[in-house]
Amino acid sequence: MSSFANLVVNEWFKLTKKRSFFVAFFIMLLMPLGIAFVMKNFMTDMELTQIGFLQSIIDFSGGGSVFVFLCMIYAASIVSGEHQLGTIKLLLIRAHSRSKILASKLVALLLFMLVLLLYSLLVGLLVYFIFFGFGNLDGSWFEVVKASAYTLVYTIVYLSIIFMLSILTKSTGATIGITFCIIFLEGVMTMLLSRYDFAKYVLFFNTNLQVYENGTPPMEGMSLGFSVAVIAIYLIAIVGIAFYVFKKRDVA
Amino acid sequence: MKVHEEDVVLRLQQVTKKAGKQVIVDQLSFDVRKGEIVGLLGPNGAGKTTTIRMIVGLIGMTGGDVLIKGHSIRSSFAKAISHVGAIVENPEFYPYMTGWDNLKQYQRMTIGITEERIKQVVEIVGLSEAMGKKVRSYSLGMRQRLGIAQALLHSPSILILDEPTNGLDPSGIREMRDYLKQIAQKEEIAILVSSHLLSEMEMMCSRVVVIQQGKFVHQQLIGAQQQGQEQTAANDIRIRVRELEKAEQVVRGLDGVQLVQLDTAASELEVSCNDEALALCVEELCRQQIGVYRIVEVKRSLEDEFLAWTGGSRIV
Ligand SMILES: Nc1ncnc2c1ncn2[C@@H]1O[C@H](COP(=O)(O)OP(=O)(O)O)[C@@H](O)[C@H]1O
Ligand SMILES: [Mg+2]
Repeated sequence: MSSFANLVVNEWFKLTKKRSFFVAFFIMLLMPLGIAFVMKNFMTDMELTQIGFLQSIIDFSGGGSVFVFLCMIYAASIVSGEHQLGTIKLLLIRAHSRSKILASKLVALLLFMLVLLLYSLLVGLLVYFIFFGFGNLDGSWFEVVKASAYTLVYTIVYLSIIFMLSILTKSTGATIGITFCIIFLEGVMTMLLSRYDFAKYVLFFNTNLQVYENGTPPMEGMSLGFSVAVIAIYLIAIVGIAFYVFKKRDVA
Repeated sequence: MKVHEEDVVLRLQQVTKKAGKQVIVDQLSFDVRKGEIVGLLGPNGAGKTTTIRMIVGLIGMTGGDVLIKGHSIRSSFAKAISHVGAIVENPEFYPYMTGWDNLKQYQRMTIGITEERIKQVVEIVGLSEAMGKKVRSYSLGMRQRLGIAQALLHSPSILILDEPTNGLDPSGIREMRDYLKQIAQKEEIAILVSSHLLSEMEMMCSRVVVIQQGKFVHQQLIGAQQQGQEQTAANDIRIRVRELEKAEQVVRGLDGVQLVQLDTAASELEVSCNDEALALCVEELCRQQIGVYRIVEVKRSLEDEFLAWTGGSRIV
């Protein structure tokens, strides 16, 4: 196996050998169970399709926010955890550049995100079958793919911010704290700034790609392509800062 | 001592670290050669850890360079560091993994480490029994040993340990010392150990490099090497005799033998001379039938010398 793949394997084990690893998977099992239970018992008048059920689980403005949250928690410690344990020292005195080490962490994180997403979809499907049988197959699977893609984009933006914060602060607690401040301010800022034209260049105005579904863009001059471009530029800058700081830093 | 350039494993060249205006390490230069156990000795805050961090590239240096087997840690990090095994400060591992899983982590980071090699280093440090246990449950001594195992995995040319006996009890310290000596032999590598304990360095090292406030102060061979070197130098010798006054006259009459002091209570005289002069002295004492009871070399302890080098600042 290539040496980079080995580094990713290492990072994967660091995530999965923790007892807390299964918490995310447990929660992503409870959530659809809860939704299905409520739907079955209290909203009997609603016709629930498989597709609709999966969408409600994965959509980041609905049940999917739990998924985003879980990914964030796991990302928060991926670099700061090594600082806090002190293991960073043994990690960095091997024949690998710091960039390579950091890249392997990023890849492991994205891998975790994808695994959790696939797992959530599979579990959602199973839960649906258990509660509602094989009944309603209406709707297009493309809707699920789209909902997943929007959630992934939103998650990746936050993961990169957390990744950078984890490196800058070297503290898991601080990373999570600052991230929650950002999430909170995101809503307030969006409201306050929406009057100004430059707001469309602010990252958080672009992270919800879902808004382009129903035709009218949130602000004049914005489009799906525009938002994707803005996100890409921010991501490059954020991840660039993360790598730069990690490479130059004195590890004490 | 003959110096073979090709035997130099680690070379510090004018290594300097500044933090703001404070100079933490100041133009430090020394070499470590194959087969040597070198002690980096200095009081707390002298800059030992900072020096070791620079050697392994964890922190940048303000000036100078570190060469490991000729490769600069600054310009060819991967090549240089591949010859180094190290523990910096405390040996820290992933507590939620077993000892074995922790070592597997480091195995995957270097191409070509076999499972046999892992078992071998675990055997060397005597941790075979504990490999299946989570590191969380390890004692400090066990983690130190796992640290050494980790450092030896990739068969480095130099092992660098920062205060490896810190926090260990006396029996743990003794064990550590034995391991290191054994490793230096078995693995044929150079070892650099830092410590603020002179007595410990004396028992473990073949040479000490003394630093104080980030500056090189002195270096000193220890033990067998030291004696070998000083064959022609004058040694202090105490001689106990039956007749002290007669002995004093004999000694005063001999060239190359200096009387240092007389101890009438013990009926001893202390002289300073080299090996040849001592032989003559003893012959003369016997010829005059003064009655020699015992001849003992007076070892000035390294500690006394250390106090002299550092101008009285204590390290014990
Ligand atoms: N990043 C830093 N900034 C400022 N001072 C530092 C820094 N790191 C270490 N020092 C200082 O440098 C000195 C040497 O520290 P250290 O290398 O840990 O000594 P030792 O390991 O010999 O006890 C200490 O006085 C310490 O306070
Ligand atoms: Mg120290």
